[in-house]
Amino acid sequence: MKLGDRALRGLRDWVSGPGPGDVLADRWELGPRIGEGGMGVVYAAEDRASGKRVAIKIARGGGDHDTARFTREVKALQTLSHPAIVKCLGHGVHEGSHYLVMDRLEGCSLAERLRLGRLSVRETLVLGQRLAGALAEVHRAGIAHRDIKPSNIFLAGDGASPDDDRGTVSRACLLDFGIARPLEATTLTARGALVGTPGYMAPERVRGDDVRDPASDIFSLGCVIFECLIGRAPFTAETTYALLARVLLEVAPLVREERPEAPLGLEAIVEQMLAKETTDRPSAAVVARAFEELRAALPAGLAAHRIEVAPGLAEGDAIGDKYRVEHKVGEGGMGVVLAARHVELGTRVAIKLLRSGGADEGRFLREAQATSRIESEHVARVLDVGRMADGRPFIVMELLRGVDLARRLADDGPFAVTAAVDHVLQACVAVAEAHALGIVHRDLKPSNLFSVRRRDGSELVKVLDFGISKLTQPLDGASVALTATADSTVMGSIAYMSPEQLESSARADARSDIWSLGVVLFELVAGSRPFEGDSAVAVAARIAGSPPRSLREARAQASSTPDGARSTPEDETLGKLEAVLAKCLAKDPSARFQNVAELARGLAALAGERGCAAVEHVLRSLPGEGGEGARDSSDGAPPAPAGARSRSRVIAAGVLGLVAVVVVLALRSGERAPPLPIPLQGPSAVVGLTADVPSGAAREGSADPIAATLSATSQPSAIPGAGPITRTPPPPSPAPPPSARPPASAVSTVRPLPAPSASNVPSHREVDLRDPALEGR
Amino acid sequence: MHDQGARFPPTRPSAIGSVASDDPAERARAFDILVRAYWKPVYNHIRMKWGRDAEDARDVTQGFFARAFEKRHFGSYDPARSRFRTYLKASLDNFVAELARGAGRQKRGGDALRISLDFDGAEEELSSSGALGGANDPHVVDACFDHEWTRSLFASALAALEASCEKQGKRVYFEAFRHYVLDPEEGAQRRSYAEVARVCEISVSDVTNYLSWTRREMRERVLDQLREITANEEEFREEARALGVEP
Repeated sequence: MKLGDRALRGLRDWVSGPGPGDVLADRWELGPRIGEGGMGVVYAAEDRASGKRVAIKIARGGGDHDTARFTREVKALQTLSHPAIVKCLGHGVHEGSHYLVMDRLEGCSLAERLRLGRLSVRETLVLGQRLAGALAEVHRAGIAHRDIKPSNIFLAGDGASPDDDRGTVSRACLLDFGIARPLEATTLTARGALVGTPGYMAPERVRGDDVRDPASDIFSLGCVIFECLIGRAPFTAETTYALLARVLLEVAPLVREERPEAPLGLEAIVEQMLAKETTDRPSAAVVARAFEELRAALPAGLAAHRIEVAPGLAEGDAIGDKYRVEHKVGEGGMGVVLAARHVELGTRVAIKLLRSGGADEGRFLREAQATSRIESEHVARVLDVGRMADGRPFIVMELLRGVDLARRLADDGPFAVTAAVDHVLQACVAVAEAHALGIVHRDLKPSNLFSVRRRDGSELVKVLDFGISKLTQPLDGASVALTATADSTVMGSIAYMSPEQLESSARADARSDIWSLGVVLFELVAGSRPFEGDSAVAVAARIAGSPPRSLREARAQASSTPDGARSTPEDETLGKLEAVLAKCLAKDPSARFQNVAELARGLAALAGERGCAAVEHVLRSLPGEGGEGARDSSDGAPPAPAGARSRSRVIAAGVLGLVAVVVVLALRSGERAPPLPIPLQGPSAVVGLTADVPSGAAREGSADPIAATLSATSQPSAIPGAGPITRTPPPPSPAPPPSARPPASAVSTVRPLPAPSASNVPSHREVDLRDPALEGR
Repeated sequence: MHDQGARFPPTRPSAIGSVASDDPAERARAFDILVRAYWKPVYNHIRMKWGRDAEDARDVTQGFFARAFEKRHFGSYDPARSRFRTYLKASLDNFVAELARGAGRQKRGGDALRISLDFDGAEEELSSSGALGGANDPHVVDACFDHEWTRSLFASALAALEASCEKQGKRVYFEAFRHYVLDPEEGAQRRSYAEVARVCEISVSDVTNYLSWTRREMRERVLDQLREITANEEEFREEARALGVEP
């Protein structure tokens, strides 16, 4: 039988399982994929009968183990009835695939919420009471959840506003009963195997003891409550083994050591929940009652205290008479980023507010100028600019909910090749449009690539922070100020800078962005960067004079750690990727891809569905390989640096400049400076690293912008060894728990690039995404 | 071909492992499987990468497989070094380059072995796909090779499914599947179950059941084919995962 492209695509989609457009049980119409986990894929869906929006989880794989696990979740949800437990609306088998229909929740996970900062004491009490009540119901039904953690707790919005995606603790729900099991059942997990998530796992589970005890859930909930109050889990370490040792041997810090305003009773109940012995822990019902009483007894003043988000500005205050501040999203040396709501329209926005005194106002407003010129959906929209009464300027931008790729790397480890390529290609769309307008970004890095979801649930990568961008050609006669970078200035994030940008930011043209995209792609796939060193200066020296690290070796190192890369694309895929990276990371700009279109074409063979769509967008932005963008970049490019200057001069200029940059960075951010192996000297005209910019701009749930920028240079935290039980001070940095990201698909899902017709659109298969949390959009 | 009534189909040995067998019959069987899976990607690759015209590409395709059979070239494949697909493509490129240098001209016609293959159909598909327009781009050429390999795999599995349905007296199962999965109009969504039921003159619940059965069968047929043309379990699982049919 002849199998044309369209039929092949349809056949592959169908064989791999139900997907968008399929109707289950003549009732549930599947929409976009909104989540994916080890157990299954979650789709937005609609009940054809009632129009109700629901979420449907479809089991992955057809093995007996998968089916048993899926069936357990269905049974658990059918058994339970509690406002804080997501409802099972139906289940069944569609063409051999098991599915579960659930309420579709709008809001965000507690993990996302905690990335914005810790909760108030009152919020924590409300949340704790609700979750403990739900757990009491779960345990009464003879079930243990076994995976209580922030990403399995969903904060639903109140539904009053369609864009209210922040969620509230009073509508928290427990999710993912996939590894829940009856308390009396014989274990399906081999004795000694870890079940759950290490950062929230009770000692008895770490030891592999009887994992059916409901007290284990209480310990996990205690960890969650602790994190809500303190901002980090009670036990953290840089490696899983060190973390597990701490869980076994150390006593958690007391809550009031870091949260003195918390009631003594709250500290006591959390301490009991985190007891090492299961018999010392209270039941869920007791915990729920304790939280209820503490909440009732909470002084009104404590609940209503003013929360300052910036000097002279608190939550609830108005900015420019138009925007009401909701909470702080992020902070950098240059200013803060706030979530706010338009007073009249009710829409939620992000506001970047410049810190008063000493900051570069021109640069701050350049970002607004540059960003507002770019119309791509892959760039956060600038909605407004204005000034506070004291003269501080602010930029109003669309509020993004999601996670930046630096955070995702930290949480989930390296990406599958296809997913990494797709993310970079989406970024290429924005960069291509910027280049076509003569704008060079100059600070492309994972923390400036932000992953959000469209309203239909599909993933969208946005490029952020055009704060240090450069305009290589005047546009509408209004942009000359954008070219004002001094010739000896070094701007950007060192680890992602091209050799010529290290020498001087003025030398950075479109090809410098290509370099940075190459570094980003390498890091997404390998989990580490192609040029690394013990200090910023060492990194700069390697960028200027050393070949990049081997991608295979870097991946192998990542794979050797418990949290490392899980997928293992074979040689051919890595070979193709290495060829692309080699061209991105050529020291001589003329040897790189000359524009984003060339890069996109180079990546096309490695791309998934979204990546292929992005390639087409890029080619439209930069028509032809010698298109508009290519002309722009060449117009704006400085004289070719390679060959014109000696390699040693490049290294010297870059390294010496960076010494000064690092000092400026350290002084401004207040963070510890990286070690400086050579004496301080160098050009004085050094301004603005990204650490100074509130690079969390317009986003919720992002990594700390300063921490992200400093990640290339910061010192590793000491890993305390296992010792006798002691109460220890909090470790310097929390270690994210390893995720259960499933192995991703490799690359043989091939789509011939040039065919313009729908017949060459690839299958819907995608990778990435983490917990099957039911996201709202 | 399959034990159609069995709950579990027989596990098929890798043809790649058997292609170096000392048993001529086994070797020929394995070689035939590989040729069926790869001849079209090979033909397209010669047309696109090497710019040979249709007639020349036929001869080179025949010659490549004939020589590989005679010299037992595929027996030297080392799974530890690359995927078989990568190895075969590299072998092909060496062969064509050698031809271009004139060293293997005598071998081009593949006197020792002629395989009956539908080159006219392959040429028609290639021309109508527009892929030749991307022949200058090595990434497109590579993508087309892989795409054609995938198409061959699924086409073989589809043929096996149809044969299986015929043998089991389940032609209507296949017809429901065909109407629902393969036949939607360009740009249109799949037919509703009710529509398929009407066309096939069966009930809607029959459509549900038949499609469930054919999906399971189709997956097994794809996995069967895949197991034959992959070298080992690791490669098999990797490919299956990439295709979305992991067992």
